[in-house]
Amino acid sequence: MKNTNILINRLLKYGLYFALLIIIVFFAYIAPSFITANNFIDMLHTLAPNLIMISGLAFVVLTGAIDFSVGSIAFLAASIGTYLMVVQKVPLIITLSVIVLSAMIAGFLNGIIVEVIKVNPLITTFGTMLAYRGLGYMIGGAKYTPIPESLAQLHNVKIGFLYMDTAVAILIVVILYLIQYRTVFGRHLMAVGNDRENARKLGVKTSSISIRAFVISGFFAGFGSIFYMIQGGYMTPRMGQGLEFTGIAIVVIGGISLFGGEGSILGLLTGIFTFYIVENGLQHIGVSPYIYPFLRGGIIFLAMYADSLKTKFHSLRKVRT
Amino acid sequence: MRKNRIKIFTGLLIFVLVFVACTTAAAETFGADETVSEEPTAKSEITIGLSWNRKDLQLIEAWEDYMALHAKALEDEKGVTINWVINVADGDVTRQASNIEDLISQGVDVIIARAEDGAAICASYNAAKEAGIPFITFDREAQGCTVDAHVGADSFNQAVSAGEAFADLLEANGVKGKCIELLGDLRDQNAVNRSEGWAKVEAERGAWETVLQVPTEYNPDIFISGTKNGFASNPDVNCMFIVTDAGWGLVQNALDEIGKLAKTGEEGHIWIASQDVDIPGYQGLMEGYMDVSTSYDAYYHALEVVKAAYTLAMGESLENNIILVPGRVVTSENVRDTTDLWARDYGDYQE
Repeated sequence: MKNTNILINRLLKYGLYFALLIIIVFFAYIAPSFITANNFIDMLHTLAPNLIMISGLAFVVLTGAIDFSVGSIAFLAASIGTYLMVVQKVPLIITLSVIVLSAMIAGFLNGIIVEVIKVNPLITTFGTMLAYRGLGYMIGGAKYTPIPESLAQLHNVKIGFLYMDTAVAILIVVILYLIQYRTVFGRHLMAVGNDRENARKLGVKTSSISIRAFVISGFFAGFGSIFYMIQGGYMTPRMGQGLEFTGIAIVVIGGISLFGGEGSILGLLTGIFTFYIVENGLQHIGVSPYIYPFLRGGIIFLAMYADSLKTKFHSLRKVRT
Repeated sequence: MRKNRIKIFTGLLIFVLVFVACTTAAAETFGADETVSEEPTAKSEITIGLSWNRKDLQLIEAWEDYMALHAKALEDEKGVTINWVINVADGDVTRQASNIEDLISQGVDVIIARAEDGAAICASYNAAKEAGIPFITFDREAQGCTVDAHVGADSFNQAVSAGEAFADLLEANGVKGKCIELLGDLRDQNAVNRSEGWAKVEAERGAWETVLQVPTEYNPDIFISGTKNGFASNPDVNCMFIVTDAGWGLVQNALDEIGKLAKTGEEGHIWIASQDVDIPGYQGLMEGYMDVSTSYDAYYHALEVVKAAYTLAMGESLENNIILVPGRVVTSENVRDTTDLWARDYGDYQE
């Protein structure tokens, strides 16, 4: 019995890496162009803006809450930024600061609604997801707007062999990892996610921690939107659409439990890599376009199922011990 | 006390936010009179009810503005006052049904609806029919019922005309194409029609071979990754078909990053065919990076739907109940001379 438990535990812990390895070998075998350094560098470049945008979301999920509004916050902040840059000709440095600041305010508002007015995070962020996007459309006019050349030209800047956005995204994940494990705030974050009531009894200011997590989520949504615009050269009305679901799926695939208090920020790298590698591999082997949505859906389902199995397994173990 | 003040402040903030956001969805009116007369006097005045499923694209603003423009011209020509009642459903199928119920209860003379769901709109059509109000679907066809009229783009022939012009271009330049096709959302009938139109010309003319199809779902990431991966796995690719040139800026950056961005006539030029002449596509054609696109003519869609609405509201019948605007082939050569392109009116491009 003990051996079975260990096996299940290991499978749930390392199964994703094993699956990832099989996927890589499979695609490499079918399409040699897949297993090249350039392809991996390009893939990391493509996923970098989304990785930045959802990195803060991971903090919210760690507290046991959810944030559906990440994509809309990114869109709203970018709409404000584009309006300032393109229409009002505001200097770039001020515009970029406003983008990040407005995203933080949007995150703060989420936190206040959840913690002060006591509305369920799912309902709150579902509502603000619609409201923020609506505001963004009003400000930006829902059109494809080219960003200034001085900003757009950064899209192919490299630091060493990595694109700038990839380097920034990796740095952010490392910093957030250190915050999670090396700071009091990080420990409190995990405590709130593990058992909010107990954390409160132990003196953790649970509401404050939760609000800060939402502000951080907003900050990175806004920050990521800047790289998103740089990469495409345009502010697009579709920015962040669908990120509410893929973002959460990536966080969960990365091992962060939807129930909070479990998982490492570093898992985000595995999560997003898994999500993108399948898409990338399919594009290399040239399968029927109808297979893509099936596989995307399958990955999300498997991730959610594995998360629920993991939670069940851990609860059972807690009861037994 | 302090906590209460925070609550009041937050409540006010939410109220303002929701209020501001709701204004996009709230009923809007324009025209001579905002109130709807229940019985227009001998049709010297008609009221058109317009139900948008959502208003998340500049194209929709363009449609609405052009409709107002054409209605004004019709007013002057026919001596009839045209009033509008407009509502927006924000992508919510049930809300659109309720919005159309509102239009019916206000007694409009004709309803134009851009359906969020082609099947669900049939219930609204039936309700309008019972009330004796003619019903026109706009841009997106109803599925499962035959409404009084449909006005939209002919997405299949749009792709065929772009494909024919593209085949001519490749043949004239002695190029045998190997193309990547960036598809749209496979749930979108227009996207599927475009792909089928492209495939039809490919089969008939043999001017190119599509070596890779990438479904983008209109997701900006996939426009970029699909382009890069397509070239990585098929290094001899020399052409692309992009489902909508709204995604041109993304493809342009991807081509730039892999050293494949060159204007027509320059060495290493990738031949590009697309659809819509959206704002980025207009720019791509003007700059000479894109070769062919077929316009998604918001100006003419609006003209046709206003004419159809006027005819039905006057109790007359239409010659054709399905009015499809085919679009015009726009190339980097003729883009400057092509009139009534909405991307020119609404974009910020300057030469």
